[in-house]
Amino acid sequence: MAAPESGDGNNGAARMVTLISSDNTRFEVEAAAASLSQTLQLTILDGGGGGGDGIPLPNVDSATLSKVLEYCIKHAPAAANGGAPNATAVDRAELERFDNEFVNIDQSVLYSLIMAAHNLEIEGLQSLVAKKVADMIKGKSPMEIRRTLGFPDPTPEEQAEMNAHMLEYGWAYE
Amino acid sequence: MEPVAKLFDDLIGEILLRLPQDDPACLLRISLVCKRWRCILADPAFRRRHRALHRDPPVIGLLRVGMYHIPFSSRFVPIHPGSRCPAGRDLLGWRVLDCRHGRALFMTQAPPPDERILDFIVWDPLTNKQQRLPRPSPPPMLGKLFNAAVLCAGATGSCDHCGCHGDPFRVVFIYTTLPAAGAATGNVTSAHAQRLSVIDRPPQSMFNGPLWMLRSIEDSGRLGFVGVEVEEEPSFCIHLLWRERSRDGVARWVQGRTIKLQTLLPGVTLPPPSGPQELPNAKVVGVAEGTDVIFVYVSTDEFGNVYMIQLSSGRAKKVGPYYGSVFPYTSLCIPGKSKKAKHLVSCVLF
Repeated sequence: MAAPESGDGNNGAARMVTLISSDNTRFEVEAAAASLSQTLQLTILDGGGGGGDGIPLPNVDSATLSKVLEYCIKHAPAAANGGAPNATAVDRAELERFDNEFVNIDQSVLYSLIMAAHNLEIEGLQSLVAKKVADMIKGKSPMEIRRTLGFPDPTPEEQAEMNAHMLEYGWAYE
Repeated sequence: MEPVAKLFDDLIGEILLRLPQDDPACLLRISLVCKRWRCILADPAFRRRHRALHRDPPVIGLLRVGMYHIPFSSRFVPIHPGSRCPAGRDLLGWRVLDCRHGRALFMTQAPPPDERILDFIVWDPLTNKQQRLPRPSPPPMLGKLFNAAVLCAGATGSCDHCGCHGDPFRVVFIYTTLPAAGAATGNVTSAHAQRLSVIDRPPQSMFNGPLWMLRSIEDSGRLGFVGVEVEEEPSFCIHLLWRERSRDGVARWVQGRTIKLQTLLPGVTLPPPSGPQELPNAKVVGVAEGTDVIFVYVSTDEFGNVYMIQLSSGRAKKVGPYYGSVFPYTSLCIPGKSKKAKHLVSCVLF
């Protein structure tokens, strides 16, 4: 019988799986947490990742994977409850506080995270990071957005193209 | 290279999808950041995902008659008061007739000595570009009964109408050659492309007031209509009706939901129902076609107010005093292709 998805194992011992990052670091984690990833869930349901085998993740480095797993471990209990319809307001507030703090990180880490979330199909993490970046650029002018995201100064060609568009949609900057 | 450049297009799209919906200029400013982002926004796949995440395109503003004392004047009113985009503006000399698929249609008096002839202008609120149409033949004259609509010239079902405002458009005129009183006033008419469909009214027992077409569901062949009527109780109710084609090809009317107006406008003191010979004290004055947003007039004071109501969420918002019909402008505010739009003019006589 496959391990139940609800985290707690049959005799209190949760089923563990091993994930191997691109730089060959091994991470042992509860199957329920790893199963937040749609990609991993299939392998785990097939009985993979247990024992000495481990699941290789050639696209995710150890720094990113450790961050991804931090998210998964925190969100696993709520996910096991099917989106936590019976979660208390306190639980939800705690998850929200965790999420806010979790994405309060360097931009380059955010991008590594969103790519890992995309590869591993962790929808909640992908939209959390996407929302964070969206919040960083909302309400800003095109030049401010370029500066916020570390774009180099526009080439004369790019500048001319921007100017032409601004002329056409001038009201957006009035 | 900027760090964000390492993301592939889908993920940049994921970020842009999550920008706030109440700032219409947001995607427009985004499109100016760089060419790559502009291409991501212009891709129909982005608009499909936008629709999947946010459902319908947002109602950005509305067009209505500008001032009572000036016969030809219209006003563009932004729905979000703080929004600069597109800014509120008066369009003097133009009388609004329709707004659809990112464009608005106006009539205006031809220059002297042809003041009795009406000319037509199509305006893009996003770019402020205007185009005067060639006169249809016969030209609609002042005082004659007619109606007109502007719509995307793309084939039915091939366009989501969220980014086509710079593309070719079609203008359809419908006018009657019968004396005004003898016109087919009892029927709802819809002209699509070159074909005119006449839709019989629903049976009186089902609904007796004026109906507005709200939504057409292409795949199922369903057309959604909405109207406000006084129920026996008496209170004002919003009625949703469907025109449905059954398997044997016969179209019939189906009663949809009925919603009490008071439950949608809990803080508003509704007027008493109007008598049979009086003007209605509450009525639908506009719909954002293709969405579930309707505009309802309620005679609460001397002029009355117009409320915007989203039927799915039940959210309502006062949008200003009543000046007649309103023509909502829905848009994702994504720049269209910059090219001179061709247009087609169709006339339907009946």
